[in-house]
Amino acid sequence: MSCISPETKPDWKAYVLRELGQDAHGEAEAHLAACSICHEEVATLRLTLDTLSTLREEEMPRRIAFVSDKVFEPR
Amino acid sequence: MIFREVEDPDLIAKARRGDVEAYNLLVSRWEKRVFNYLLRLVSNREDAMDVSQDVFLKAYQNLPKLDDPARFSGWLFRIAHNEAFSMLRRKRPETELAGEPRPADLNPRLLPMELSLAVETALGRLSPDQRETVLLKVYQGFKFEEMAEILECPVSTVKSRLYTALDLLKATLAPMQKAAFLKQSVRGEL
Repeated sequence: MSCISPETKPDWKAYVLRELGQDAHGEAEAHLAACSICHEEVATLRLTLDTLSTLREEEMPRRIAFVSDKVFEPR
Repeated sequence: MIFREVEDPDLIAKARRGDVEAYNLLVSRWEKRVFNYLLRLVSNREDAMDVSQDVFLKAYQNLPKLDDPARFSGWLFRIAHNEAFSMLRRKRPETELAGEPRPADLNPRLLPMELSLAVETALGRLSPDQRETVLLKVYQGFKFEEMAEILECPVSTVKSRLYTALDLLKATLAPMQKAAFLKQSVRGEL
């Protein structure tokens, strides 16, 4: 089955970003199961988010000064 | 498990009563996330570090004004957003040069471990407004409503910026990751 009514298409970006309400999410799942075009669209969006998640988290060059005052002093 | 981690609102309540160690603990929980968010906004490690320091100082000074301790993270990131853009405005000519996309080669046959650099480059090509929505949503996990509060704009604006950014990132990154996965699977077969 293909997506024949684009105006009723779920908001796929909100779907992959987990911003749809419970009912809308359920409707989107049902649509997704039956629509190859939307399935491809969602797969590409997920691939993009997966790729974004490869960005390395950087270490701080030093701690915030407040922290170094007391908490991390040897007891 | 008997030990229960102290929640942020408890630490905030203690810090409001003058418990510096409680605030220190709060800082240690959030400093890396705030630093990384700022780093992607200002594109300079030392500037990100300086602004992070200012953010936590300002947050400490304004802690009594925080209406709802349960919304500490959004409040903290709003301070971070304001401090970052204030710094960028002060340094505008220099930042505009430093903020230009680097001429990195977006090679469509990247290895998976090289994707991180490609992502950094792709993020650098977004407008600052678009990039910030990606940082807040994808890397910090805020909801649309929280992002609207942090950025002080309507949810519709948040969605518009984020959706445009995702379309741009999708066009740039998806082909690369497909290639990377393909390369990985070919290696696995050998």
